[in-house]
Amino acid sequence: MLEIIVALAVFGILMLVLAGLDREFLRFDREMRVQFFLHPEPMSVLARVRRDVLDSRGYPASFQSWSQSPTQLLLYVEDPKTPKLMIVVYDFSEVGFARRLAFEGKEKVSDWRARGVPKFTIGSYDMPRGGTAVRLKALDEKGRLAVDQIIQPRSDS
Amino acid sequence: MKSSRGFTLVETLVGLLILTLVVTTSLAVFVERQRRLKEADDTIVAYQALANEAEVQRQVPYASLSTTSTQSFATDTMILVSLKKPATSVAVKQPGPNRKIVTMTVSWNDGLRHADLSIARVSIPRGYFW
Repeated sequence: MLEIIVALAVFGILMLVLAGLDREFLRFDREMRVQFFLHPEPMSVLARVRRDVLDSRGYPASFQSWSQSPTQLLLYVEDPKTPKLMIVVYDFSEVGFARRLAFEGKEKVSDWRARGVPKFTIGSYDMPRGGTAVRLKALDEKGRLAVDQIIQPRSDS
Repeated sequence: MKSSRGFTLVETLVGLLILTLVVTTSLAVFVERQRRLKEADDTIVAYQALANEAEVQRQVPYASLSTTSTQSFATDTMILVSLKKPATSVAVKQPGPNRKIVTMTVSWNDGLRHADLSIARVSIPRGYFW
């Protein structure tokens, strides 16, 4: 009987140590600005915005219910498959979500949504050598700057 | 004969040794994991600043790329404030005629950590490539 009690006590200590470590893992993870490695979605948003802005040909002021704003970005983007101009809309107005929609004419050809992303905002940035770039920022839950990307359309440089 | 119960000293010591090994290994893994995650996070931040600066440096006229002086970043480096003592530099080398390599560097932790990004600029008769 004594052996069983001692063995259980030792096992319990081990479990406590592991639980303590696990708690520390989570506490540390919460301190990270954006958990790029635990959740790939922020990176996939950045990659899509970068590609679309680089290939963009201009910025429509509005389209359907969307308009240029700190949470919405509208772009004219050349479709690599058909040399037609698409309208690409990025909508960050819903907290925790990022949405990319693409339209050819009035027809929606793509609707992609990312979940669990930080709060993205869109702005412009005047490049020192001329031209205007898109500036994509994201703040974490504590309001710290986690993403700050300046991307200039290649047609503008 | 009197019966003996419980653990011998050797059994107890072996048990403690195993427990110590498990706990020590777990702690080492934990500490290493935190360190690497922090480094990766810092590196991601540094590369964002590098990518932003590359957008500027690819526009600088080829003739204006000075190989004699080192400059700091022309872009806003607000994102680097989370790094410990960050510093930025842009250096240009000319390995051959009509070709310059622009290397942008972000260093932090008193220079113990750094990330860099290089772009090649090529001068052609009617303009330049980046």
